[in-house]
Amino acid sequence: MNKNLRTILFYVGLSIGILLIIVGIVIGNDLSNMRLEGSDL
Amino acid sequence: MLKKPKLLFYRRLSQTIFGLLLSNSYLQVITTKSIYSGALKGFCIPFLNCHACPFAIFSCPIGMLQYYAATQQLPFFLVGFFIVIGLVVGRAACGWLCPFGLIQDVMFKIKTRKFGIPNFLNYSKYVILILFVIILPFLTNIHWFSRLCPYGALIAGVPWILWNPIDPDFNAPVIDFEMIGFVYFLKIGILIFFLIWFVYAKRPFCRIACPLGAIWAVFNKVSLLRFTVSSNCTNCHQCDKVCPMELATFKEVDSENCIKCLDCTSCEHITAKFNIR
Repeated sequence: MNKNLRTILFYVGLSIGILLIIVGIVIGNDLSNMRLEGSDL
Repeated sequence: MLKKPKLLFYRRLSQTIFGLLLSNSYLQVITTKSIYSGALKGFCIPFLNCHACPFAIFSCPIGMLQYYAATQQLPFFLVGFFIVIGLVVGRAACGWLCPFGLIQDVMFKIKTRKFGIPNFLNYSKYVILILFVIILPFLTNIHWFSRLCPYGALIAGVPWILWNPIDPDFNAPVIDFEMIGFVYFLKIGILIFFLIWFVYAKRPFCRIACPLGAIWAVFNKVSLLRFTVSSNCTNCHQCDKVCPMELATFKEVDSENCIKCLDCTSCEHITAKFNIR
């Protein structure tokens, strides 16, 4: 893969990822509200 | 002469301490008889670890993704977590942390005839991710992958059934055996099938069935941790002999199946680098 494209993808992706984490925490869509449901017996 | 990977000891140590022991260290379950549901369960770890396991203290990212699909919510935080971890280390958690990967590595050491896995099966993990983790839970409100996950069966389904303590809050057994049906036995069958396969092939679950591996795989080519092969590579095939995913690194650098275990760097022609370009 072209190095410049890879660098752009990395920075764009990282920014989106961090933004999503912040949005998730701000709107309460983080993991602390998850209803636990694990291996179904 | 095949060289022993330089970092193998540290990788085994990391898989055992972080993947197997620390993430499953809720020993109080022996007295409480119920799974941990404190603050740490709000965090997920970057590898498969069923959060219904009696000893689990963190949540499984695939269990969480199914929860968001089943409740028809957009998992902003979780997607951000996948993107950030994936961009930094790609599939490294599969090689360095995942306890199911450790079990596969260890079982493959049993001396017997070994078999390869056809390349087209590599794509089935993406189908499993989209179908059993996202689409079916979204449509049916049932966590289908958890219901069938062989690792969940190994560390949660089987231990709970064998132990089945009396829940002190309800004064009744934790597991009602009448609830156990066809899907449970199907899951046990899938577990047995994979346990046998682990002896004959390198990491078959990671290569063909792991939905979390499928997510990390997408980031492998752009992650910070990547490999380079020197131009004077002699095609000696040492890299594919030591690779736990059976990859010929010199031909498939940063392949979607590469778990960044660094075992191939025991060959002087392959080096790992950790930078953006």
